[in-house]
Amino acid sequence: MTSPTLDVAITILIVDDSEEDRVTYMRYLQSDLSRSYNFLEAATLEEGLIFWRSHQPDIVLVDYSLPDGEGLELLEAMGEGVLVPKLEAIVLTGHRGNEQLILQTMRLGAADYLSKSEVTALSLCNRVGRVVDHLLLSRKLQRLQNQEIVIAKIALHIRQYFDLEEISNAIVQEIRAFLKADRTVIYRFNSDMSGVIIAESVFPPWETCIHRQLSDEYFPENMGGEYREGRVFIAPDIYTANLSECHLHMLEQFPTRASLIVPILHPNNLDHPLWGLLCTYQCFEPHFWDELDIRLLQQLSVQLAIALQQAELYRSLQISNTDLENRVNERTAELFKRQQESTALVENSPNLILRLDRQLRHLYINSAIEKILGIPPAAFIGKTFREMGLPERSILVAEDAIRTLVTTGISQQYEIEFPLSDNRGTAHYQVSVIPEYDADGEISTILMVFADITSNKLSEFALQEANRRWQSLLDNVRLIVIGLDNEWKVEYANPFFLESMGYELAEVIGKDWLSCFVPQSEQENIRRDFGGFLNNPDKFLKYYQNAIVTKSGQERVVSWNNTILRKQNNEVIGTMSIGEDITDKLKVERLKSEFISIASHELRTPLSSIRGALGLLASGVLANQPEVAQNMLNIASSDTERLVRLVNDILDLERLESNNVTLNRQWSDTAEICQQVIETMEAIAAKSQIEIISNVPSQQIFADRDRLVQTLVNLLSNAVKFSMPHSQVHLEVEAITDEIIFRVRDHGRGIPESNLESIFERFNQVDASDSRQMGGTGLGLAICRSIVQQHGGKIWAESVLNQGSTVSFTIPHRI
Amino acid sequence: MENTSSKTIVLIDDEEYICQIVKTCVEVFSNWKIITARSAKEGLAAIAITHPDAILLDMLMPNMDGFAVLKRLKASTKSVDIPIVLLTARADLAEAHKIAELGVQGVIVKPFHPTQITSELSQILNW
Repeated sequence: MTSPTLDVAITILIVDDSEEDRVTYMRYLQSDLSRSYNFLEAATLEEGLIFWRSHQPDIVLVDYSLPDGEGLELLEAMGEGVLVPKLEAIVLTGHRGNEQLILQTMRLGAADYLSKSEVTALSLCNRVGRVVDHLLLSRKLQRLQNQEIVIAKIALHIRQYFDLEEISNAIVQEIRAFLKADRTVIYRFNSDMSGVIIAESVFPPWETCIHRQLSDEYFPENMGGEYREGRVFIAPDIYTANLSECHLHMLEQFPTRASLIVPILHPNNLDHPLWGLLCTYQCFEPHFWDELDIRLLQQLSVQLAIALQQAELYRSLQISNTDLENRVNERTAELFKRQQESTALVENSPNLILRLDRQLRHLYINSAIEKILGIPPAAFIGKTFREMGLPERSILVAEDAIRTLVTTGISQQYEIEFPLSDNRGTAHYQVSVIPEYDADGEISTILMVFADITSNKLSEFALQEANRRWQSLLDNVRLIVIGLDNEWKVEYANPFFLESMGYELAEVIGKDWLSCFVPQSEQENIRRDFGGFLNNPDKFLKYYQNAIVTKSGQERVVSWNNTILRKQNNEVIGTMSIGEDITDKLKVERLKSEFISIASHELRTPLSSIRGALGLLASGVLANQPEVAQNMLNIASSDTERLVRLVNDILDLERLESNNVTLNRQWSDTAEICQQVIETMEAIAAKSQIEIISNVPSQQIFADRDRLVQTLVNLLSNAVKFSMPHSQVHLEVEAITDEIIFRVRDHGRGIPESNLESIFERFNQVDASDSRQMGGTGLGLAICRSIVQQHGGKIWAESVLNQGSTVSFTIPHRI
Repeated sequence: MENTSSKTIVLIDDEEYICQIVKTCVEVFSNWKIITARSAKEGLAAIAITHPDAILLDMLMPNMDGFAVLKRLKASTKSVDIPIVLLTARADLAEAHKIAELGVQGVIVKPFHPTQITSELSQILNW
């Protein structure tokens, strides 16, 4: 068994030409049972030197006098190359008390001097023992020193290098060399307590085990067992170390005979402190592991733990550095990309973008300027607006905005028109003037952005124009326009509504439409009809008709065309209604309907008689009843006449009222006209025993003579019809300032006051049967009124019941 | 079909000629008896006296028109069941819904055909 331990046998070279002495010395020394010596014997100086060189004994016991020289020569040879020799040699001499010799021996570095005469077992053992003690102490010190050097080297290495692999390799290298071991490895645990050899130094011919995965059931079961507590595993011989078969088998794989294993504990990980193992092996033969070996390994495991910590720190620093670096790179790339994009954006922007210095010189201007003015951007750099000859007004506005910006520090905005190059018209811009500050917070440059708002402006103008047109339309349209909100409040009323209904705007806006402007009788219906449209716009009634109340309290019927007003998001915000006042139209329609109804009756009645009479005659059933047949013929004839008159009057009235008749006006004499009328009526009047009395001055009148005669005959005819026999009918004419008044007066039954106006309406006699009884058509007075109105005059009736009536009309001298 | 020989009709029309012609037609083309009245007042009196089988009524008459007469007839238990046929120039009253609304049996529109008036009446009155 080899052992580097210091308590092993000391090899002593005894150089003495006396065999007896050599044997004596050996016997003496062997008597010291506390020590163990090996002996080399040399009889001559030469032989001694050979042994010295070949065997390197620990101690030399040399006789001063040798046959081939002095023992001191051996000391000289031993101390060669050493400045201050310190030899573990004891010189034996027969010359007791020779101080010269002692001095010389000590100078050569001998450890001791002994006179042969003083040599006893005790003295020799003591002297040699002292030297051995010294030697061992020296060696131990040397070993410790070397060990410290190794540790220092490793520590230095750790401080110089941050790579754990590098440090690990250096450590295993140093340990193996220092301990002269066959193999030194660092074994690192995985999280499942399996492990791998991450560093190895191996002495040939032993094969490398680097990166070998090792798995020992022992480790996972107890999470590293005693290693976790920092225990050291020492096995001078694995076969006597009482190992488990599994463990033994694993060690044999290397192969291993003696092993020394210390744990590497992670100082910062309390849950899993066992990081790995530092193992050194002798592969071939058993080996006693010295305390110093163990200490060395322990110290280096601590160094490894430090290295581990350092490497982790370094790695995390590296990661963080790398991360930082990557982020810086990414950010830089991004910034660069952004800058490129911004540049491209600015350069290709349709907006004109420029930067000015404080002297208003262009530092930058984008290419939009070329499209606007046809001047390349480069031409602007270093120049002011004025130097570039821009329109004075635009310069003044810009300078004003910049002045305000510099004074207040607040971004400015303004709009400006700008003539485009090549007579392309005028562009409109919204200009933003933005300050840019230097590091001291002073405005260093001014950014100006000209956004083209031409299309917006044109739209705005178009919108304004459209609004103006709409407003004009709403203001001038002869239709009612009313805007209501969702609460039925009036939001808009056009001037025609105000004008036609007599309201002021202030009396309408904001008022509740229904309660203020709709007759009470219709409010409920309208609420019912429109109530649900807000929730269901499909139920909205586009067309509606209802009455509204004027300021004077009259009711006017309006036909509405309604529209729902919506926001852009389709939310209903109210209604807009356009209405036509159809009150007069309805009245006309009603009158027309009534007229048609009456006219139809008036036409059908004589037609019925005619058809009936002629039909009976034609059927032949009256062939034997000549009287009846004659009566039928009379009926037919009479009602034919009646029908003719009726048709004539209808057509005449229609012509008059549709202004299709042109009056044939001429100067005539009233007396002559009246004379003609009286002559026409005289026979009829006489038949009814009525006297016509006229009092007509001669007066020139500018009128349609025939129509005037027609009127007077009609009035006189009526007067005669409704006069009692033997009574009188008066025809009077009176000239006043501007007109001539004609009067026809009778003493008949009179006209009820309620009928004084309606008798001039068509088919509106006081008594409908009058027309039949009196042979009238019911249209005479309507025709008279129309003729008078055509002349610019008016007609009216006055009456006292049962005393008589007077119908008067005026004809102006001139229209 | 009922025996029509004893049918009596009252005609109310302010037009004398119409009365004469209708009377002649009825007398010539049927064996019904016809009483003519020239006003509503006269007609209502005739109805009250004779209690006719049917009434022929003109609508547009002075003083009291046909609508007022209808109202009177419908208001009286004595006359409410007497069938009424309108003889009018108002063609619009011949529409089915108006006939139902007025509560009359039918409408003969003027100008009527003299040889067909009795057959029209027969058809309307289901005689």
